[in-house]
Formats: sequence, C-alpha cells, structure tokens
Amino acid sequence: MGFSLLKNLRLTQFMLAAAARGEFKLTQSILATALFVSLLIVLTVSSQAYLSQLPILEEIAIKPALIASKEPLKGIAIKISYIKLNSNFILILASSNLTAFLKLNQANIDGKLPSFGEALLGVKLKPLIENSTFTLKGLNLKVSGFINSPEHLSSAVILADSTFEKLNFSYECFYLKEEGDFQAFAQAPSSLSLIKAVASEILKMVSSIAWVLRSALTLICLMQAYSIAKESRKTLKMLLALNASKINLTLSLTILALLISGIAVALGYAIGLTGLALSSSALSIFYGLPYIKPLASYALIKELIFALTASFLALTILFANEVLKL
Amino acid sequence: MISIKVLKPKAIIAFMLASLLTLTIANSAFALLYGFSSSMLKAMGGLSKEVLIIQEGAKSIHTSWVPLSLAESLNKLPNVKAKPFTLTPSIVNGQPVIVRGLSILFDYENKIIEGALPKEDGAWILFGEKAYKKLRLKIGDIIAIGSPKNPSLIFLIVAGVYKLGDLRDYEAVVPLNLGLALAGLPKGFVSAIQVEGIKKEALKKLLEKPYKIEIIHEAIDGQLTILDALSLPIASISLKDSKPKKLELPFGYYTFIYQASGLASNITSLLLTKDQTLNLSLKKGLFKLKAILPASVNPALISESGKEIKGFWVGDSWLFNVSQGAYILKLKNSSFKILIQGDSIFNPAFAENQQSLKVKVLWRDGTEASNYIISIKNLNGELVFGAESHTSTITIPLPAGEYEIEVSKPPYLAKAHVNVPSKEIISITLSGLSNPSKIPLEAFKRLKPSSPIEASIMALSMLIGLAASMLLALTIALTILSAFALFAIYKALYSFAKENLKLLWMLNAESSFIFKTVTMPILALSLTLSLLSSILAFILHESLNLSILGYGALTLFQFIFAYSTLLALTSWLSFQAEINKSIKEGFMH
Repeated sequence: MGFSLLKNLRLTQFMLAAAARGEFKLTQSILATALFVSLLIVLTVSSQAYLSQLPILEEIAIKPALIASKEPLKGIAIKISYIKLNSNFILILASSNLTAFLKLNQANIDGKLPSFGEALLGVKLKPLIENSTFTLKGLNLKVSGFINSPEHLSSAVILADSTFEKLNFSYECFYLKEEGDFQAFAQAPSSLSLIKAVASEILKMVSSIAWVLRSALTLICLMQAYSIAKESRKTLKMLLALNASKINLTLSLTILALLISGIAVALGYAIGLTGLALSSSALSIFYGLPYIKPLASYALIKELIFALTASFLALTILFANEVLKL
Repeated sequence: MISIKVLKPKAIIAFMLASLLTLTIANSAFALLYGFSSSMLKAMGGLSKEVLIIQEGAKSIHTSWVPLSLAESLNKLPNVKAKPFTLTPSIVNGQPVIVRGLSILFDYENKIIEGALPKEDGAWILFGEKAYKKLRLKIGDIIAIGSPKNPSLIFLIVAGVYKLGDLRDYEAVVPLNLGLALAGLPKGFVSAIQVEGIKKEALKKLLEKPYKIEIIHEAIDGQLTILDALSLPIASISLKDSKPKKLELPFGYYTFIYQASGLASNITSLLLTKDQTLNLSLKKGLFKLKAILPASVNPALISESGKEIKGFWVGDSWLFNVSQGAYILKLKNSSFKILIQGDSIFNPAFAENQQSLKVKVLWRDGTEASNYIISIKNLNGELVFGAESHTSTITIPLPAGEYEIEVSKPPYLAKAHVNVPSKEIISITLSGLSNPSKIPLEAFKRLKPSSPIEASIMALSMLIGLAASMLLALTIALTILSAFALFAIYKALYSFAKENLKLLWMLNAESSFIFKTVTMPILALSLTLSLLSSILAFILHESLNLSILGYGALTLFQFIFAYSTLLALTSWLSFQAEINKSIKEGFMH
C-alpha cells in the first residue's frame, strides 16, 4: 500500500491510457476550459498591444504649452467671476499681472490695460457702452480699450485687481503657467492629456472585464473538475480493487490534473491568439482599423499561470476528494 | 422527472451554472460590442440620419475642415436646411468629453433640466445629463477647457444641463464661435455640416466639380470682386479690356461687386449650381444708386440722353432709382461720371481727397505673403475696396476715416482696424500654414457628402484608431469565443446524458418521446437561463458604466435578450441534433 515510484508511473500510464480512451470524458471539459482561458488571453493580449502603442501616440502628441491649476503654482494668478446680462454670460477677469495674462492668451488689444476704475472690454461688448463707460454692479467704469482677439475673450471684461476687489465679486482663482505638470486641472494643447484620459478609460474597462473573466474561469474550472472527477469514479474504484494505494492514486491523478490543465491552457492560448488575430485582421481589412499585433508580455504570463493554477487546483482538489470518498 | 433522471441531477445543476455563466459573459461581450460600435458610429457620425458634409481625405470628423459659407449657400437651396457644427474631443475635470459647437440650439430648447439655455453667444457651456453627472459639476461652476491643437485655454461658465435621451447626453455644447476656437479651426471653417432636405447623391453631384463662369462685360476700368455667402472676398478680377473673363468656382452663393473710383455696385448675386454666363452688359430693370452726400447738396443725376433723374433724401444719403447705363452726377462745384451696373453706392469722398494707405501682409514667420485678397469695409460693413494683390505690399487710395481691413488667403483670414490717414505702414500677419495642402478652392473641391456611417468609420479609424480597433477586436473575439464555450457546454451535457439516452433508446423509446421528455425541458431551461443571464448581463453592463471618449456604451435590454435567446436556441438545436444523430446511428459512436 506504500508509495512506489515505479508503481506510480505505471498507474499514471494506465490512467493516461484510460483518459485517451475517453473514460474520463475529458474532451468536452478541456475544450470548455480552453475557451474560457482564451477569453482571458484575448483580453490580456489586446490590452497589452494597445498599451505598447501608447508611447508612440504620446510621442506624436503636442506637449502642453499652457496649464491651469486651482492649486497655487508659480505662475499668473487669475480671478474669475461672471455676470449674467440680458441672459448672456459675461466673464469678469482680474489679475495682478494682466500683461502676462494677455500675452499668454495672445490677445490683440486696442487701447491700454485697465487701471483702477477702468475696464478692458471684449469687442463684442461694445454695444453695452454708454458715454464711454461700462456699468458693472452699479459702478461706472471707464473703458480703457477693447480686446479684438482671441475669440474667447471677445465677450469678457478685464479689470485691475483693485477694481475687482472693490466690486466684491465672489470668484474662483486659477493659476496659469507656461508648460508644466501633466496632472494640472486643464492644459492646452490638450492632446496628450486626451490620449492619457482615453487610455485610462480603456484600462478601467479592461480591468473590470478581466475580473469578471477570472471569476468565470475559476467557476468553470471547478465545474469541469467536478465532472471529470465524477467520471473517473468507476476507473478509480477498479484501480483500488486492483490494490492501488490511495496515495499512489492521488499522485497519479495530480500528474493527470497537471497534464489536463496544461493542455487546456495551451489550447486556450492558441484559440485566444487566433481569435484575436482573426477579428483584428477582419476589422483591418474591412474597416481599415489598425491591426492589433498579439504581444507576449509579463501580464500574459501572469494570466496563463493563473489559468493553469485555477484548473490544476480545481482538478487536484476534486480528484483528491473523489479518492477520499472511495 | 424522466428528464432529470436521464440527464442526471448533478449534471443538470452543473449545466445550469455553466450555461448561466457563459451566457452572461456572452451577453456582456455582445452588450459591449453592440454598445460601443453603435454609440461610436452614431456619435462620430453626427447623431443624425441626415447627410453630413465633411472634408474628403480627413481621417475624422474632428479633423475635417468645411467652409462655413457652404452652409449659408446650401440654405439658399429650396427646402434645404444646413446646420454647421464643430466637434472637439476635450478634457473636463480630467475626463474626456466631446464638445459640440453650435450656432442653432433648436434641438436643445425645452430640453433643459437644470439651469437655463443662454439666448446669446457668450462664455457658457451646457452639459448633457450623463456628462454632467459623471463630471460632478454644478450650475455656475467655472471650468477651463484646453484646445487639443492650440495653446489656448478657455474659461467657461456651466449654464445648464440638457437631456435629449440620446448620446448627446454624454457631450457638452458651446456657442459655435467658441467651438471654432476650441477646435483650432481657421476663421470661416467648421468641422462638418449636417444637411436636411437633399439626398446624398444629389449633394455629391452638386459639390463634386467646380462650375465655369464666363463674365461678359463692356470695356470698363475697374475691379470685379466676388464675395462668398459670408461676404468674404474669394476672388478679384481686374476689368481692363473688353475680353470676356473666365473663372471656375465651386457650388455656392456669390455676390459680384463692381468697383471703380468712388463707386461700389452690387451687380448681382447668384447661387451657382451649373456653368453660367454672366452678362454685365445686358442687365435690365431699375437699380438703386445711393450717393453719400449731405442733404444740403441737392445733387442732379443726368442720364446719357440728358434726362435729369430726381433723387430723394433718405436720412443719411441721396437715393436715385436708375436703369443700367452711364450717368453724370452734378454737384455744386463738381461732376462725376458714374456707370451703373446694379445697386450702387457712390461716395465722392473716394474720388476726391484720397489718402494713400500702405498695407503690408506677412506670414507669421515674417516672410512676405502674396496672392491674397484684400478688402476694406467702412464702419457700416459696406465694401469700399477689394482687390487681389500679387505682392506683399499694396497701396490703397482711401479718403480719411475709420475702416476694417480684411486680408483673405483662404483658409486664413486676418483683420485690422485702421484710421486713415495713417503715416505708418499697416502690417497684417496671416497665421502660418499648418497644412499647405489646405489651400483656397482646394478646400471646396475636396468635399464629399457622406452618410453618418461612412463618417463614423473614418472617425473611428483616426480619432481613437487603436483604441477602437482594440475594443472592437476584443469584443468581437469575446462574443464569438463565449458563443463557442456555450456550444461546448451543451455538448458536455449531451456527453453526460448519452448513456442514459442509449438506455431509453434500447427500451424502444421513440424519438418523439425523447424529444418530449428530455429535450423539451432542456429548451425551457435554456430559455429561462437566457432570460436570467440577460438580466444579469444588463445589470453588470449598467453598473460598470464603461465609456470611451466620454460616450457610454448605450445598449438596450431587448437586444441583449434577443441575442441571448438566439444563442441559447442555437446551442439547444445543436444538442437536439446530436441526439437525433445518435438515434439515427443507433448510438453506435
């Protein structure tokens, strides 16, 4: 009844022969497990292929030249408020460094910068001027000039800090700086942050799907292991009757479990790669979308190890349980 | 009961669990595939069934340049409604959102659920309900949006929230002028034009080629300036001899202005839809001649036949109703020869007391520009001078006053405000050519009408190119493989039941009996599982709330359920086919 390597090898050989004859009904179980493994492979390979291309996209994207932050940073502080005039929103801006602010915005102005009691108006606000003054919260402000461009300042009012404070606006403060941290509140050109944001959306999605698929794979492995173990009962009873020890049986079944898991994972890997390559090439041919080149990576190896472990553990545990029941 | 015994209770439980799981995954993959593909196709294609005009060769609707004047021209066609817009992928609070620039907010009226719909252009932004919730904004918030192309940050006030019930609820809306600034489009260009009331083929025919115009005229010294539908000069012809002038223009609404010393005549406006001959010599009917003179002058207008035409003082000028021909306008101390070709404005100040205004046009890098059209308008917006210049510096005779100078080298336009007389040379800078292939009439010629689907595919291929490819390949592969997995599970069920089925067959059970007692209950079970898995997949899809470029993957429960039922039915049919085959072969294999 003790452990013997030779006996164990013979037992394993016998079991493999039985499996090959179809006594454990392995084909369907291996196929089902392999298909679930392939789902995980497709997800991992495609996301890794996408990630590998991101640096290229980032390389060609225009780097931010201007950033805005709500946190204080070394740059221009700009106070922003607004008023609603005849159902129109008018921005009120003030800064202690208006020259720099207007330069950052490449503003083209006619006139001069506003001092206390003056306002620099967007060109579209001209109709609101009466007797060379613009009235804001009951205060008559002398118009110091007009902003002809850019478009987004064409309906804005720019004030000196002192005037802004006197008018007692509730405001939000932004800090503007040329170039800087990509994590800023806003940046322009924003193409780089756009690439990062879209990538982050996709990775969030991939991660959510991966958890669902890993759970599904674990459950399928358990179900398939259960059915294989159940199918093997008759053979195991026969082997026990032929004086095979339970330890030897368990060890042989462990080797069998490893083989089954290996085959299922290898098949799943092949199906996954082929499936992804086929669908991506079809999309590339018919819609001109970029081809997703399957990519081996550490993440892929991790998923393969996970699938192998899940299948092997499920089979080993349920085989051992079956042997114990005998 | 027979069914349970034949199929074995534990096998049925395992089958139910495996099927439920596989169907849920298959349904989720399908929901993602359907949601993303339909969302992206609709969103990138402009969310409408109407024809879209985008720039031919543009990889995406977001990178397309279409002349805004084309929308104005199309609106002159009977029963045609053209709506220009911009679409810009942007970042708000660190998350991607598509910002739509619109001039007409008709679709959004009565759809505001919070805040208000602004009535005028200004620094406002509206958010769709879904985007508003996702970005955690409040009405009155001030946000900063950066243009993806330009170093330009735009501050905007969150003015309202709309709910349209479609994918636009994931977007934001700004006035068209700000949409243009965000998109980094040159003045006079938009991303696309949505056209109603004309079929794609008819529009394609209209836009595909330029039309020939032959201008027949008398030998008159002057300049013929052609304005597009936005009153921007697009061509200028010098009329120095009596030879007919030929030019080619694409479809559009054009106004022909004849200019001579002190006179600007609006000769004609036409909607160019075919090759045309414009005869400037044969115009009939009465025209209006507006003479910019004080009331006290009391001018006399004498025709070639010597007949005096009476003028009327209309508040700011003298008005004469005249037919085509040559006239002499007599003032107290002077007289002017005027050639009337159409409605005209005559300002003797332009013929007398003229100052020289020197204008120099440069590119942003300081190099000299040439072959541009320069037009000068008075403060009333009336064209007083227009010419095509082949040199960077041009000297223009103008009377004293304030003027707006426009230098147009499509797609670039630069403006300047001047006071004449001016001792300085007025320097006007055109922004640099970022893409030399996008030049004047080429921009018009390279347009093609396309259906939203075609536009969407283009958008998909460029804007999110790789991401779209990855998502589609992934979801297609997941959908197909999960369907295979389900077939494998049904095959496994048959494999487990095979021995008991053989037993039934050996007991002389007919195939109709096996169908009633074994396969029909499995069909009922499959349909129940398909319903359950559809519900689970729908809940999963909604709770994950996945999005791409700000757009959610909108899907309908009915579609998921229909797909799930189809999958369950097909798998069941494969199960039934296996049993039939075995019965036929006497369970030999």
